[in-house]
Amino acid sequence: MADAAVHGDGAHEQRGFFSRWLMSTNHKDIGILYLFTAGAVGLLSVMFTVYMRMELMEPGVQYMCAEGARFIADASVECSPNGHLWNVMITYHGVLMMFFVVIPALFGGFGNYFMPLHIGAPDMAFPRLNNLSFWLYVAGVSLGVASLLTPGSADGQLGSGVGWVLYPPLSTQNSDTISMDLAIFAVHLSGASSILGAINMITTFLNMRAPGMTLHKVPLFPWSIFVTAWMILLSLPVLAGAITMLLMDRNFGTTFFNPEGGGDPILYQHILWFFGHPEVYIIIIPGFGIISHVIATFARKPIFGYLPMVYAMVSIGVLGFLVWAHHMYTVGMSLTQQSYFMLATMVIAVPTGVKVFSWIATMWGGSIEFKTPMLWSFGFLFLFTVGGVTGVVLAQAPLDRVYHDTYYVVAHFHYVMSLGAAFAIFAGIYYWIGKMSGRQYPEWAGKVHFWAMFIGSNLIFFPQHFLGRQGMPRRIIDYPDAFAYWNYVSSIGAYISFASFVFFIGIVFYTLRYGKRVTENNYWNEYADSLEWTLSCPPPEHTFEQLPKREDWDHSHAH
Amino acid sequence: MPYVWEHEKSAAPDRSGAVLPHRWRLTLWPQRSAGAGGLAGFVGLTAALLTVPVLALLGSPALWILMAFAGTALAGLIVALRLALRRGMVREDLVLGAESLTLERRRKGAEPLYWQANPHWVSPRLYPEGGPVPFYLTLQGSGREVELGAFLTPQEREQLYGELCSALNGAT
Repeated sequence: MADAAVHGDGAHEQRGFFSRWLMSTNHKDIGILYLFTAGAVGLLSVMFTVYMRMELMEPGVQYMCAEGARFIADASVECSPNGHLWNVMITYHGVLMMFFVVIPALFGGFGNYFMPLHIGAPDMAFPRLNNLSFWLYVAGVSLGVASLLTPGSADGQLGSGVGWVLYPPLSTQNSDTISMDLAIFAVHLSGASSILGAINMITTFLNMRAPGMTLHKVPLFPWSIFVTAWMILLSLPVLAGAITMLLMDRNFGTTFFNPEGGGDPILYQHILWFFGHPEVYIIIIPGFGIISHVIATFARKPIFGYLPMVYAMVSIGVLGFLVWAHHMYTVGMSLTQQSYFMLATMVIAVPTGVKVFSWIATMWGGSIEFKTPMLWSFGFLFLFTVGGVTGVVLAQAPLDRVYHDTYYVVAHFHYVMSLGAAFAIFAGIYYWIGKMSGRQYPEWAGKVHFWAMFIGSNLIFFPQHFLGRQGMPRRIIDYPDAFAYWNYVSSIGAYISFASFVFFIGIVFYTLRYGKRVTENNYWNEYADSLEWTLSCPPPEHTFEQLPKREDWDHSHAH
Repeated sequence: MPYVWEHEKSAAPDRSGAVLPHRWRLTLWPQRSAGAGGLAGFVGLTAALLTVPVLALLGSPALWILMAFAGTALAGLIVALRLALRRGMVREDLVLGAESLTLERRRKGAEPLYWQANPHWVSPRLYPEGGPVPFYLTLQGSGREVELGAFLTPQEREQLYGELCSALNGAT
């Protein structure tokens, strides 16, 4: 029999900086590590886009010169276009954002920190696996940056310029260079990290909910993390298979995607997009969870239609696996196939509409407070809806013939995915920064950040719809004068957005150092009613070692 | 609440005219929000969905590459869920009769642990502080002090302490 250990030391040991942050198995610490690392990689990735918008601000090539990259235009010095550098900027912006910024921030950061708290679990099911997931992610980032700094082109220039989708035959060329191989390994490590994280999240969600918290009583944020984890588990092995075949084609003489050896490059596109489309929802669904909590809190109403909201997320997750080929209408599929993918894609508008209308219905008749997180949620709703509407346009195979590979597509996916995800991340940071750090941001600064970002990002991407309709192709370093006006406007938007991002970094550091101390557990209102609001700010190192009581989370007005 | 009391009556007394002995059986287990059946269903659904991209490649060498990764992911999920389930498979059985009190602790994959004492000399103890968990509950007797229900919530242990005191008083 287990002998009693009455006089055991119940106090928690004090840890130093390195043992806390480098060896942590605590889900809250790991969540914070994910957020900061994703923020740093995000800054790098955003800097690439600013450089691209500098180049596109005016016709002609001013900065990305074969004679050497510049940051100050000088018409007196010759500048011939360096297409490889341009392609490298596009590629690493995409790869970093897709694999190393948005998913780690939303799923790894907020998911790690708040999912266990919301369900009343003391930690993740496998804390050491959680630590491993984080460091695999860091190793992936390192390989990605290494790929950027190693030769990747036939003439020995650095980095790979193949686009984030890594399509063959571009990605199987120059197999004597190392950059592309490093990029593939970076994505592999990111995938391994995400799959291990997903298994951990699924096990935690299914097995460690507080007593009485049935699946239909779980708050929407943990639900969003669970659906995301499941999608990661189902889609990332497929990507891993695809890029492994790329690696074999490059290095071991196989011809999976090479027609000369009986392979098929279109097969890669099918496999890639079988992962790639769910990836869009992997990125945005955790944002749905955050936005639901923020809107309910600041509308001072329980979320409208809790169960439809849950099942809408599940439906979006499942449908996301059935529509991949709408990314490749132009590869020569039969009309029947195109019809199927067109109709299936439009079906996704139904659960998405359920969510948008439920958020609006939650606000309807509510006592809305326009605090910073709520502004970001409004921004999310607007941007995500605009992106959704252009998504319905692009879902039509005949229309997509016209818009394929134009700036219309760039505008669409940035609205729905990158702005949607970024606005959800900022909503989450402003909503929870007081909880995570014990200090609150200055409200005025949060609002300035929001308006600058909202105006800036709309200035970047809304004119890109016009450019797409004019016929401007994606992925070009230079363009005819006919496209000059809206490119100029778009670049102005990019500068405003970048300035707002730098301002945000300042807000975070100001808040962490000088922000007003939070003294209440729940510094918003009673409609912020999930379990993290029963804890101090910041929460103690170990939480819910005593399982929460039902009355702590099962509120009469909730759900 | 993850513990339950059952009242058992013996079929017949040991000797004629004796008072019919009563026995109490207390069973305790840790909180787990998922059952084995539900987890098996989830694994089955995941496996079915993982076959969607794989089936499309039947007859292609790419099938084997995809299957390797899909199979590894599925195996990882199964191992994780089994491990989590196994950790939750702790069960404590306390049987309280007029003449003996036995406590048995079973954990999946480990030898069961037994403790027996005379209920007349057993005393339950509750330590609000100083134990490994708040409101640490133990039983003292037969020269040992053993823990009970360390995986319950503090409120449950506090309530169980009162019930144990009553049951021991009734039995003795």
